[in-house]
Amino acid sequence: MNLKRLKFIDKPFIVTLLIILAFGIIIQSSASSGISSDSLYYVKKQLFMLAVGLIGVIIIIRYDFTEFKNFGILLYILSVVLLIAVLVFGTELRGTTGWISLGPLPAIQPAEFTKVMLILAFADFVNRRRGELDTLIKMLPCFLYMGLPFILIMMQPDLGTALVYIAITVIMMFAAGANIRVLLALVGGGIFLAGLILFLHFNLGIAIPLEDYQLKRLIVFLDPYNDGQGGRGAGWNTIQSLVAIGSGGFTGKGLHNGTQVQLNFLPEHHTDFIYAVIGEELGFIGAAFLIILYGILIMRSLYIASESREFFGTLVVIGVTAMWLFHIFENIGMSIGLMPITGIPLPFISYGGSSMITNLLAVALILNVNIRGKKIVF
Amino acid sequence: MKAEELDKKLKAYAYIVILLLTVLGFRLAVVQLFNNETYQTQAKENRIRLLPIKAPRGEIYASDGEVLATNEIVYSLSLTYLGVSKQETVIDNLLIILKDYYPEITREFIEEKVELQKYRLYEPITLIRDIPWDLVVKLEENRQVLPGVTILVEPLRSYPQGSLAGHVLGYIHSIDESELENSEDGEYSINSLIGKSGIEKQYEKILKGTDGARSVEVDAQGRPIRDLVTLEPEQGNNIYLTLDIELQQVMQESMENTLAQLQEKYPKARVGSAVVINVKTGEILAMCSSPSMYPDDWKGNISSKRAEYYFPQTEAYDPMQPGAISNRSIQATYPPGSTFKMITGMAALDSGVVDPAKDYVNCTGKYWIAPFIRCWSVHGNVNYYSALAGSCNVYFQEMGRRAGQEELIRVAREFGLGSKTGVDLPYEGKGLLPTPEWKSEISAKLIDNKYEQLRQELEEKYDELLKETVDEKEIDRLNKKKENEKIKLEAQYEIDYNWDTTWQAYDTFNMAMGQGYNDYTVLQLANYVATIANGGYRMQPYLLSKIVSQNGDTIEEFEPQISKEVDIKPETISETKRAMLAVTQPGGTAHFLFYDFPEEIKVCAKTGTAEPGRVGDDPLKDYHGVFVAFAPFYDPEIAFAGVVEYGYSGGESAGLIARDVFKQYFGISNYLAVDESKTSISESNNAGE
Repeated sequence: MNLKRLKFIDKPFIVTLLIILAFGIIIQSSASSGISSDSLYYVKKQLFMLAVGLIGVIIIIRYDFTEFKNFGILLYILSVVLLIAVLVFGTELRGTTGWISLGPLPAIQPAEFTKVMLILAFADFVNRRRGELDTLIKMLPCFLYMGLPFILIMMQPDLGTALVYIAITVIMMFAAGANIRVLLALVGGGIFLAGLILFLHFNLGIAIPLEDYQLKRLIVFLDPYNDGQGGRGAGWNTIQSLVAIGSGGFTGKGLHNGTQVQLNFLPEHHTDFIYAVIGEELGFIGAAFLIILYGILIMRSLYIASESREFFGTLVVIGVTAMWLFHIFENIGMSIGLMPITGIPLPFISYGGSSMITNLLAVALILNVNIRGKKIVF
Repeated sequence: MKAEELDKKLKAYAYIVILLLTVLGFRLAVVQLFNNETYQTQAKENRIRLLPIKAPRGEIYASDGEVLATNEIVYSLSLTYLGVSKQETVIDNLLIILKDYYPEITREFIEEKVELQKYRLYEPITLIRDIPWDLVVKLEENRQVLPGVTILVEPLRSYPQGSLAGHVLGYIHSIDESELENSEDGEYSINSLIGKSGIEKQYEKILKGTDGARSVEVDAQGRPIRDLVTLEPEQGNNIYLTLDIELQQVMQESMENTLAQLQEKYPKARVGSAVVINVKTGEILAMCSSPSMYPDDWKGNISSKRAEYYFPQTEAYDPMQPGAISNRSIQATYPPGSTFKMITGMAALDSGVVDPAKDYVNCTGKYWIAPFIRCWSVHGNVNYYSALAGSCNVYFQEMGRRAGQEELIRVAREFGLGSKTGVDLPYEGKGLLPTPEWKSEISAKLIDNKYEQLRQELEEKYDELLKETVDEKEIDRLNKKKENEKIKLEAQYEIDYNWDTTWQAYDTFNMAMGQGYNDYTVLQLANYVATIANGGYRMQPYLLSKIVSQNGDTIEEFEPQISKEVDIKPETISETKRAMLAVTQPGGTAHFLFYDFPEEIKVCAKTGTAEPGRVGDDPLKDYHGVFVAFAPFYDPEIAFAGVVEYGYSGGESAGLIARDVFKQYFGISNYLAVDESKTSISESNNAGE
């Protein structure tokens, strides 16, 4: 590893990232303080995961990203095997079989790690077909390639994570020059179809192979009090999150002073609903600040993508931004009643080892492309 | 792909990113900046609960300050709703622990309570009041498996005197839906206890007090985290009753002992009630009804076994299981029997148709006018005094005839018979003073019903006969016969109707002796005798003497009130008092009760026996014993009236109670000290559960 290359590192990117990580640790110290008898238990664990992730970063940036191309198929096969393994050996938590235990090690969520692996694999796959993606027929192999892991994740079932894969697939193909009309038609058509099926099911009683409570959870955000239990059922999370954020006001109630969080009205407040903690305790200032930070992070990533030495690197970075963008939009969106509730974490902020390590590995990929950018002349 | 093309795509992507993040920011601003106030209120409603703090009820005292009803601090088991899914397991865990203490508590019982409170789920639901200390400890030990289960410390009514004056005090019990609906907003909650009978009901507003409230910060499980503001509850006002606790005690014990003795001979003698009134003021000094009321039974969940004591489960009334719920001294009505004879006497005297001393009537053992109603003895020549002393039926039938029923009714009305006394207790009965109008109305209905049935039977009979016949002649004959019978029936109806709906001479005779349709409450009888005693002032009987605030200030004091000054000549009343005195003198029916009273405390009295006329009664043996009395003859102070159901004779049932009460009141002997075993009456009472 040539340490000299580190001087080419994108400073705005790295500074923004560090601020986000610090932000995450600070808010975690408040959000998780009441869960365990050791008020810093989750902060410590999160910091440990951060350290593990950094080791991963160091390992990854030692290799030139172009070498990863050769492992495309291997990573793909490994991902699929992992996703099948989790269905077979995984443990169920809140209706989703997403976790797998490896002996004494802490349980991991393979669907998190496979995101990065599949971004690399798909970047290689698409890169080979660059410029030949102008018809639906020609695009079909790409859809099939990513369709398999998508279906495996839907079988867990984990709709939120599965949708991340769609976002990654579509945006990477868009960057690779795929036919925009076809992509837009597919995305638009998909959304329309899903909406139509839901509408038909609930208004005309058309049967679909999903439990009603799962479907209700998807649409209840539109009218959370109409959940059949006066807001105490499926609508509860949306309501409590909105109340938390809404009551935070401009400046917030102050760290550790959010009543919705500290009195446990807000469920999952150190994981999925951590954004509501930010909104309640740090107010509009803190919540908007985080959105801006994410904006800078993605913008700098796009800049790095554009400066990539090879198109493969561009695709990888685009894939990572697509993953982040979807996580950010969905997670914050569900916290403010804009999106349905699907349990996907807020990058770098939500508590969770798999997610933290995955995102840091993604950072490593971006930095790898960054420090080996085309501008560098020796 | 060319570099510009990629740049264009990246730019487009960047715009999408900016657009999406702007959407988030915009929505965030709407939620946080524009809807801030709404959500702040909601956050507050989430975490702040107003928990009512029960106000202790005002205390109830006897006239001398003895405590009749107070409050004690008890532990109550309550449940805070945690949502359907959690509730299930909590109830499961709770039932396991409660099994040993309250086997009758079921899941359905708890779910019903939760359902009742569905609109106020944030308020703890009181499940069981007054739980024992070791259960409190057990629940605390199992805290972690019982989220939402809390033990409230709250004041609860207690009646330190047990069943003493139980019916007067009444009881409190869980508020029912209609009571809750009819109350003002915020006055009661579904967990409230409310006065259901007696003084507790009558003076609910005075005793109740104002509940306080505690505003508490709670977490999502409804567990209180810290107190914010506390509004202290205000205890209700205390009240003093007119009851003389010693007299009350003597009367109840004497009642129990008398009933116990009578039962050896008359097993059906299980019910009695009595009242003692201060004749000068109308203050009720003692009032009892047996079987007794134990107000403590009612403040929690009454057990089914205990409920049977109050409400027997037999379909028809069974004298062996009379039920203790009602205060029979004001709610039950009885024929007065011979105690009505003073009314008859006064009616005759007041209309001037007889001279009390000089006019004699000869009693040969039955009246000389149809239907020749028998006297219980052969009295020979009697005047007013000896007739009352011997309770002669012939003399009073004759007096009733001379005075006329109109005068009888007038005098009875003057003394308040057949109308509510207006005592300050709920559910007072009215009784019945029979009048020709009343008789006509009720008999018309009866006779119409009877003949309606007879007419129908006649039709049916001939329908049947006609159906079986084919012969024309025979049919003709039957039709004619039917017509004839119909005419006969209608003629008979005319006769019966006119006879039954008209006041007959024998109605007057019956009434004059206190039999027939007469039906009065014991309190009415007591007040009637008290009115004779004080020379004609019908006082308003009452129980509440004063209302006192918690810091000892008298808020209101109640003065005696005259309901009516009776329109009867004073000498009529004084002659009647003399006649009543003769009842306790040698030869009088109540002499055996008061012969040992000192000269200065002469008692005036009247015995009576009344036919209860209940289904299954033996008309020769099953009489209610009625007794009225007042004393002393010169300057009377107190009046007594009492009824013992199936006591056979008035003197030997209720009379014994009057004797004990009078002896106590005038200090002749102390009933409570006479026999130690008698004071353990409450125990023997409990044994009857």
